[in-house]
Amino acid sequence: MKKIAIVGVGIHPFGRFGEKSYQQIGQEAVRMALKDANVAWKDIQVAYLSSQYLPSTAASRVLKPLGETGISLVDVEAACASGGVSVNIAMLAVQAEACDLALAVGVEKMPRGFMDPMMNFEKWQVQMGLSTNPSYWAMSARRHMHDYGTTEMHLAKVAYKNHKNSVDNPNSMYRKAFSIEEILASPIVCYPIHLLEICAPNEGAAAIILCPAEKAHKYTNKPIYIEACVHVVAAYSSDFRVPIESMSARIENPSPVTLASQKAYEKAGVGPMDMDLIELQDTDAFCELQIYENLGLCKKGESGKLIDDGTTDRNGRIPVNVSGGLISKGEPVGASHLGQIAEIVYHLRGQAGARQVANAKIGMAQVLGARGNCAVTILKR
Amino acid sequence: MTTSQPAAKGKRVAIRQDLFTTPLDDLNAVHLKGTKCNDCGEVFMGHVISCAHCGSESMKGIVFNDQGTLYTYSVIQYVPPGDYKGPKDPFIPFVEGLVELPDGIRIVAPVLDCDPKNARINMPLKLKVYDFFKDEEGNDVVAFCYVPA
Repeated sequence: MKKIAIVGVGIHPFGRFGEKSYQQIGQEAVRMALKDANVAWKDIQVAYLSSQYLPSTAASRVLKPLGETGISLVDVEAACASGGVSVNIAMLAVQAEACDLALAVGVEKMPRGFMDPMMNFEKWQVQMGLSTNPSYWAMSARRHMHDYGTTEMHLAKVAYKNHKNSVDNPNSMYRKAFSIEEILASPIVCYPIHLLEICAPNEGAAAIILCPAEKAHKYTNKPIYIEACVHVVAAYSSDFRVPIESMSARIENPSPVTLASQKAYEKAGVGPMDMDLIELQDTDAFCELQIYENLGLCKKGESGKLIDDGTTDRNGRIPVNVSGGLISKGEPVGASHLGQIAEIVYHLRGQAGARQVANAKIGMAQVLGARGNCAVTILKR
Repeated sequence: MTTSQPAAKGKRVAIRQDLFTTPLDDLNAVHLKGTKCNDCGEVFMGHVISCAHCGSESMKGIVFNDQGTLYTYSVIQYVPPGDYKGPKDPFIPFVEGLVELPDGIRIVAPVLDCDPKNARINMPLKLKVYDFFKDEEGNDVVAFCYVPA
């Protein structure tokens, strides 16, 4: 397959922006990416926009005001992995030689508070009170604690690391370090998960511009190559996440994160230990631990040890969520993976400012959400 | 399908189709129904026409065992979002469990009559089918939960 390069990135900070429309938020990220690639909107030949909570035809609502071009503007949705799909199909469009310059953009402006449970759950689940999203993560966490001796302290250390990292990220919603004591003293959302250990839905956008690798130097002297971009939906009974009503007690299939990352490693010809940095789905602090295991950063049950020994600290062997992660940035669902990709591109270009991971050459972004939608992207400079 | 009770103001209706054995007259005699794949043996809640594991369309209806154990759980401490029909004023925190049945399935269900402080992984549980709330037509909507065995 033809090698694909990212030649422009743009990001609108993640947070809450009052009356500012999602169109404005998305357009700012797109304009920034266009400028970064030294191209004009009329040069883009196809665009994919990922979101979960925007109205139908969001792609044309956000992008048509940039100027009439007559190109295909496509809406994409795959829950928390939506951005992985927009990048994947933009890449495929360029690989198929249907176009030379493609745009993938994620935009979100989410309602405040709990997401409307009827978007995910059946009516009977909502009526019976089974529609509390974090309780499913909490159930996974409690079983992991029971099986492997993972503790509340392990979770608190993940949140401590990510909050501390966020201080240097101007695109993050929260930029405040918290002590372990403060984290453990914050209200329990669903035991063992505390308020300072969970991400908030919010608003934001990020965009990338892709082209065939051999043409990248027309646009940038720092092309970043997409070594792999994989989207999967969980294999049968392999992921305990909303809105699931039951799990098999007989079958143990590999998790969607395992599935997607194995495919991505194979395509890229690398392994988890080759990464210079990773941005991953810390929907809550336990989720980050579970994903360490499923990405193969450690064996099953040993994620607590991994956070204990500092491997994933900013100065550790494989820094994870140097951006501050979802716990600090918030999760504008459709924009989340594009935001991770923008972050990694900045590090690989050496443009990440105070949070720069020294001499980063290869990085990985991973998202996971409802119904086991998962995406993994590996980038190399 | 549910059976109406004679001479009652409303009748009993199931909160979810195809989940309960009928009739619903004596709730102590009601069990959860499932579907089993004749090819790979996987089981599913309610009525399904194909196996989400192996894709087979050779399926048979089964009745689940009433006994189970608590595989894992969380405690719902705040009113769940949406049209929750349990007690809201005041809200009573409850255990939400993943309940493992001997049939080879784990079911997400409320675990009631159980102080959250006393919930333990692997604790024995049994099914309880009960009148949960009245719908707009005055019918009793029947739901299920598990309780300590």
